[in-house]
Amino acid sequence: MIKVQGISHNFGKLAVLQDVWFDVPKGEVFGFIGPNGAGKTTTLRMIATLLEPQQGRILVGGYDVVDHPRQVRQILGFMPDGFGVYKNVTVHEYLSFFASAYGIDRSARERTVRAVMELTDLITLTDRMVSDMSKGMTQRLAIARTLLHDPEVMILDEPANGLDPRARIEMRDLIEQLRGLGKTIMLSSHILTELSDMVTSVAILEKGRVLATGDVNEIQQKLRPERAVKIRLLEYPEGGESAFLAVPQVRNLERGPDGALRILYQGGDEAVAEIVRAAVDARLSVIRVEPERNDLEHIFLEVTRGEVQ
Amino acid sequence: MSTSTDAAPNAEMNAPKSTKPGFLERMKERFADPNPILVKELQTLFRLKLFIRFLYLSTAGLAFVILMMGASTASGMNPAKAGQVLFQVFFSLIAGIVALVAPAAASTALTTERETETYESLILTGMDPAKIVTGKFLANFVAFTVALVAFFPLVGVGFLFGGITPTDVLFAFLGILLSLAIAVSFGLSVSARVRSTRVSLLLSITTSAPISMMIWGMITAIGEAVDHDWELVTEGPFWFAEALSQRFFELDTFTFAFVFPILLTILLVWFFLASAIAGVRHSSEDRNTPFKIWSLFAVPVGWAILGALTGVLRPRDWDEALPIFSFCFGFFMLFLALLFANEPPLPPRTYEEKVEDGGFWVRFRSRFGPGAAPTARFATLLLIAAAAGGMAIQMVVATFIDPAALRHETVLGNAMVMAGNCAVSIWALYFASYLRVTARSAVLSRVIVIGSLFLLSLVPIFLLATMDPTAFRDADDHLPWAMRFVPFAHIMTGFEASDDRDLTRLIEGIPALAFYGGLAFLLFAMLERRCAAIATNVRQYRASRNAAADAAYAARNAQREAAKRAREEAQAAMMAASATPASAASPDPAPNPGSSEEPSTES
Repeated sequence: MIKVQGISHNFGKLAVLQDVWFDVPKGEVFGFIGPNGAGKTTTLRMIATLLEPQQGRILVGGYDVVDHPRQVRQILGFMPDGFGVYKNVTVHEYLSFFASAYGIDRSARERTVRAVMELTDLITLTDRMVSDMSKGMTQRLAIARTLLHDPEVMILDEPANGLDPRARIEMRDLIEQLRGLGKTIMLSSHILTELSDMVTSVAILEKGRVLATGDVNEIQQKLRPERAVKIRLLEYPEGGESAFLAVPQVRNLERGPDGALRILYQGGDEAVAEIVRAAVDARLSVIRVEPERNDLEHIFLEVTRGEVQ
Repeated sequence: MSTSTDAAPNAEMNAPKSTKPGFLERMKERFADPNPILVKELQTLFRLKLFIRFLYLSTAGLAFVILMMGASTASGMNPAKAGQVLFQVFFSLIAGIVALVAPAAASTALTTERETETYESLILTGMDPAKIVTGKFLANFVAFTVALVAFFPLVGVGFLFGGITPTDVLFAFLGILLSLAIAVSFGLSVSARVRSTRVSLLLSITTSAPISMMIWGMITAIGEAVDHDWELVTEGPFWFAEALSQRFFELDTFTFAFVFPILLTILLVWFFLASAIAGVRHSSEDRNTPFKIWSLFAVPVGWAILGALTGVLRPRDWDEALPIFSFCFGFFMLFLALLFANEPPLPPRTYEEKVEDGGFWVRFRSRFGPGAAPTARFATLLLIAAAAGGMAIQMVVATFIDPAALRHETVLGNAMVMAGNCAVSIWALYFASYLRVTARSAVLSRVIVIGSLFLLSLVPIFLLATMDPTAFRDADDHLPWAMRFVPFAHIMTGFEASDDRDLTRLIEGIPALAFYGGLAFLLFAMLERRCAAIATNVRQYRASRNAAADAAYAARNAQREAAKRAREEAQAAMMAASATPASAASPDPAPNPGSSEEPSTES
């Protein structure tokens, strides 16, 4: 849906982006991760037709962002970092204004606004002044605005920045819903835990260069073929580990400080199933199986080799 | 969180559109569904405490000044005179507020949107930039009109003294509204070109304050000039209110105090709004055509003013006045030339595509459309038409009034001035356009052209003054050779030919005509060639860029696929290798996880 092909951009003498390549497939939730100043916002602004790349090409839905900005804007919804909302209007007035700005016909405008408010759970805040809303609500309002013209692609720049845990969970749910509606969503963040539960593919950007891109699992397999699963047993009989080591996919095994077994294995979820089956066959009392979480953090550290502070 | 997926608004969005509505239906729809920017701005403004405070504080301040003035003038003046003074003071204060506050307020209209990041959201809606700018203009105009209406009852103090009529107030109010429209549109044009609110505020105030003072000074001076002929008693910048209310149906008053101010206001507001729209428009879109349409209206207005000025003069003044009017018209032509010297070498991409897909008429228009060379062609024709039309209208009016008084020396002298205007402005057009295309800076190119005009004017005078001071003594009889190439040589010779009735003086203007005309022709050829070369290069670059991107994209994909396959094969091999030896349980795990060495647990 989005093809970024070798873009480079300088601000004065500062090279902000250097030969950036990545693809965002249709229907994906794509995470664009990197530290502050890596060039994420610059790239997103280019995709949103707000900035022209000095080199390279960006295609959104097959349209070149430089040659066909109008067509790109029709299929794209962009939420900037600061959300970009007017303060002295109500939620309904704000959305009605943008519905009108998007050229939605007057007869359909009210229905569209109500539909979007329902989708983003703003229906109870219809007459609330935007200036009186919390950051989480404002963020939802900003997402609601980008949905008014029913775009195929949504670009969200740091959508969870500064949100409290509850608002983050709500945002995650909303993004899941939007994905269910078939939208292609590209979101950026420098806080990896924000994205790890949402994204299906990523691009990791550092100092203006893409260090890795693609499906999260694929990148992980490429970087580090082993994954880890923690298994907690009711009791740890002598030689019980051998049951796990007999599983062909298992590479290593160690006891953690909390007493749980940390098993390194190769392969996907079927390997985990094999490991559990082996434990059951060996009559070990398994009380908990925890595949290691926050893969994105590991990937990021692995890719950037700890250079990023 | 609602889970209703049917809430997506596509059904309404993708509804098939009906056939194009008629003009009346469109007007009806426009009134029923006003500009969203206007509605939103007014909603925001009337909720703003600052605006309410501005209203009552400025009304109170104005009331205080008017009452103090009333008290002080009432004692030493006859009541009618005191009423007129209060009238002038009241409207001058309002004019001051309009001149200072309105451009400043309007200059923040787009910069605040940029600073709060709402501008990007607005632009990405795909809303027509003209609609955005018009909405902002109307919102600011309405807001200030509300303030003016709040001030309005104070003029009643003047009625207590007499000496003014309600129609005086009405025409003065109309004058204020015209200046408000100019002030707001000027502020908006600044706002569209500047990123920071602070800079736009500074720029609008520092520019509008002196220009307003100059304009009000000029209006007062014109009042002083006409008050005897038009028998006016009012003194001050709002003399036109009395003139219009007393002599509205007199042709001269109606033309100069009513029609021309309205026409000039329309011209200025249109120009500033076109400038603001160009500032909002995406760089890939046509920013130039609105100015061309504007110029097609501005040039006839210029002709009308020339014709009217010719008409109000006494025939015996034509010998001197007509060349001078034409000379003044030359400044307008120079302005047009520099206005159209701001185009990049190529037309915008969206326009190029439109031309490629368009028919004969679209292709023909593109010869004069956006892009440096086509715009310069358009401007050349416009300048020639402006000069010819200006000259023609003067002659037609003069012939209509008194054919006998129009002498052929005046006609030819005037023709020389207009021809010189043409040569110099077309030279300036091509020089600035060529510099714009090569140096890629519109400001720099204009500064260089204006600087060159000054140098070409002053250096010969300076050289003559230092090397041969006596040359100036006979300048009335013949122009010194060094002066025959200055950009105003044609004016001097045309004026002398007309005034002295000496056609031989016209010969002295020919070197300047040939010099600037020749240079213009040379620069025309250079500009056309340069633009054609750039167009070829850009087309080649675009084609190669797209081909290179496609090739690189395919290569990268192939490489990734190969790497993925290799990884999968390696993994499969590892799995196979690890499955064969009985992993029968060494309790001692492999020391180096992830390495290719398998733990030797078999033994």
